[in-house]
Amino acid sequence: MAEAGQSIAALATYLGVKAGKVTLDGRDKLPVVKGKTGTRRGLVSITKHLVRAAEKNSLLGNTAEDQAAVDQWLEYRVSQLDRCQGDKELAGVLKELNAYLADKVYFVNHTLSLADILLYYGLHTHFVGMPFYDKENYMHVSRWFDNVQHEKGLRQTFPYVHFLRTQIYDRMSH
Amino acid sequence: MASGTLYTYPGNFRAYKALIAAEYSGSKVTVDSSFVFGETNKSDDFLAKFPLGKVPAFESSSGDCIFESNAIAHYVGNSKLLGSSQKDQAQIQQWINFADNEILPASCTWVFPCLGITQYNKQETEKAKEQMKLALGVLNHYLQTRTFLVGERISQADIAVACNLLLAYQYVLDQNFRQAYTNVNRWFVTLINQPQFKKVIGDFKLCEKMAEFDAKKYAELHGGSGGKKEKEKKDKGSAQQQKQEPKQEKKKKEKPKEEEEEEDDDGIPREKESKDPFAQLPKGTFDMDAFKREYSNKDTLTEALPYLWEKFDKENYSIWFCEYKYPQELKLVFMTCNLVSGMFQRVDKMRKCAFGSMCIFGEDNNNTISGVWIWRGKDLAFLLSTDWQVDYESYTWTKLDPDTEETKTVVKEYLAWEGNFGGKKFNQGKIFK
Repeated sequence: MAEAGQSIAALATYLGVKAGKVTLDGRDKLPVVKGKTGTRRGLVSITKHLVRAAEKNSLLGNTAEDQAAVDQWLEYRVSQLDRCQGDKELAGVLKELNAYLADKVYFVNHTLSLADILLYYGLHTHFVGMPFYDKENYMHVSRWFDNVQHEKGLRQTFPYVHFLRTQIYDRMSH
Repeated sequence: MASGTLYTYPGNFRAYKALIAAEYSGSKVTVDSSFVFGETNKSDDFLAKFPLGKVPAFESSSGDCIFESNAIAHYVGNSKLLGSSQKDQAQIQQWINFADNEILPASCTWVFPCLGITQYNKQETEKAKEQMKLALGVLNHYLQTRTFLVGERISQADIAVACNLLLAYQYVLDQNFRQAYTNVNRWFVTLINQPQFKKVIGDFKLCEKMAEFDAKKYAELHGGSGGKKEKEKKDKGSAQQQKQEPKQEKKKKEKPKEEEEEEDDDGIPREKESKDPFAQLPKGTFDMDAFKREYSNKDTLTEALPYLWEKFDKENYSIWFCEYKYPQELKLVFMTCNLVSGMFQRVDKMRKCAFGSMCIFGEDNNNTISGVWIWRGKDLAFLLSTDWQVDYESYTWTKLDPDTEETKTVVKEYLAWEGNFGGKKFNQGKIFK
C-alpha cells in the first residue's frame, strides 16, 4: 500500500499545496498526516482536505448528489481497488469499471473530479504493465485513463502509458 | 483575445459554434440584442459589411468583419481550440468539414420538415436518415478509443460537430435510433454538459420521440398568401392527419408495405371524400386528358391546336380569358411567378377537367398576368367549389366565343407562348394541366 502515500504526494503537487509528511500507521498501513490544524487519517480524508486547502472544491462535486458520487468512488478506490489480491480480483474491478465507463467520459457528472484523479493514480501501476490485449479488452477504462493522464500537471513522474488507436484483436473471436 | 459583436437570431446553432468557442477562449463576444432577422441583415449598413446578408456575422472591436460561422469561431477561439501542432490543426479542420459536409445536409433534410421549415419528401428524408447513419457510424467507431475528437481535450472540432448535431439530437435521434451509437452519445452528452456549452445552449434535452413532418406548422409558416379559407382547409387537413396517425402506426406493424403505398408522395394522407365538383356537369365529347397529352407531346402549332379545334365541344366546355386586376401591385417577376404557381396549387383539384396557360408579361416592377383557360361547363368553374375561390376574384374573366377568329388567335398565342399578345412583352408562361 505504498501507493497511498505516492497518491497523496502527487495530488498535492497537482493542486499546488503542501501535503506534509505522510506516515503509514499500523498493520493496515493507514496513511496519516499530522498537520498544524490536526491529524488526518486515511486516504479519503487526507485528499479531501488537500482539495479544500487548495480551494478547488469543485473537484469534490458541486451538488449534494455529485459529492456523494465522488465519495462513493473514493471509497471504491480504498475498499476495492487497493485491496485487490492477484490478477483475478483486479480483472473483476476492471470489468466493473469498464461497464460503468461505457457511456461516461468522467466518473462523476461530465467533468474531472477527485474520483478520476485518485482512481488514475491507483490504477497506474496496473496499467503500466498491462499488455495491449487487456487494454483493448477494457476499452472504456483505457480511453478514460488516456484522457485523464493528459490532464495538465497530473501525471508528473508517473510514466506515460501508451494506448493503440486501432484495434488489433478481433473482439468477435474471443 | 478577440472581442466584438455577433449578429444572429436567437437559437442559431451556427452562432453557437462561435459563442461556445468564445466561452472557452475568454473572448468577449456580445450578441447584438437589437438584431431583427430579415431587417437588420438586409439593411444597407449591414450589407456593406457583410455582402451576403447572412448570419451569424461578426464585427470585431477593431473593425474586422467576418462571416461564416467556422471562420468566426476561429477568430474568437484560442490555440487550445484550434490545435497547437500542424497535425492537430489539420485534424480539427477535417472534423469541422465533416460536420458541414456529412452531418449538416442530412440533419437539415431530416429535421427541417419536422419543424415545418421545408416541405416533407419521403424519399429525401429516407436518404438523409441513411446518410446520418453512415456519418454517426464513422464517428462512433472513431470515438470508441477516444474521449474527444482531436487530442485529449475539447477543441473546435468537438464544438463544430456537436453544434451541427444539436438539431438532430433534439428532434429526431430518439432512444431507439441512437442506441447503436453509444460512443457518440457519450461524447455528445459530455460536451453539452460542459459549463461552457451550457452557458450558450442552456439545458438540453435529448430527443424522446422522433419528430415527424408537421403539416400544420408548415402551413402556418408558408400559408401567408393563401388567405383564410386556405388556412382553414390546411388546418382541417392536418387535424385529419393527426387523427390518422395512431391508426397508421398500428397498420405499420401489421403491413408496413401496404401502408407505404397508401401514402402520397409527400406523405400527407389523401383526403377521404373528394367529390369532384365537375361531376355534376355533363361530360360532353371533349377528352381533356387526350388534349393535354397532345399538347404536352406534340407540336403546339401544327398538331395540338388543330386537334383542339377539331374535338372541342362547344356545348359543354368553355374558353375563358383572364387578366390580373392589380398589375400595379406586382413587383419582381419571380414573385409574380409564385403568385401564379400558388393559384395553380390552390385549384389543383380542377386539374382533371380544366386546362390553363398563364403568361407573365413585362419585367421587374412592371409586369402583369393574363391567361387562357378551358374547362368543362359554361360558367366560371371557380364557383363550383369554395376551395377554388381564393384567387379568381383578382382577375377579370371574359368568356371567349370559340367560333371567332380573334379567339383562335388569342388561344394560339397563349398556348404556343408566341405572338404579339396585343403588344405586351412576353416574359414567361406557366401551364396548368
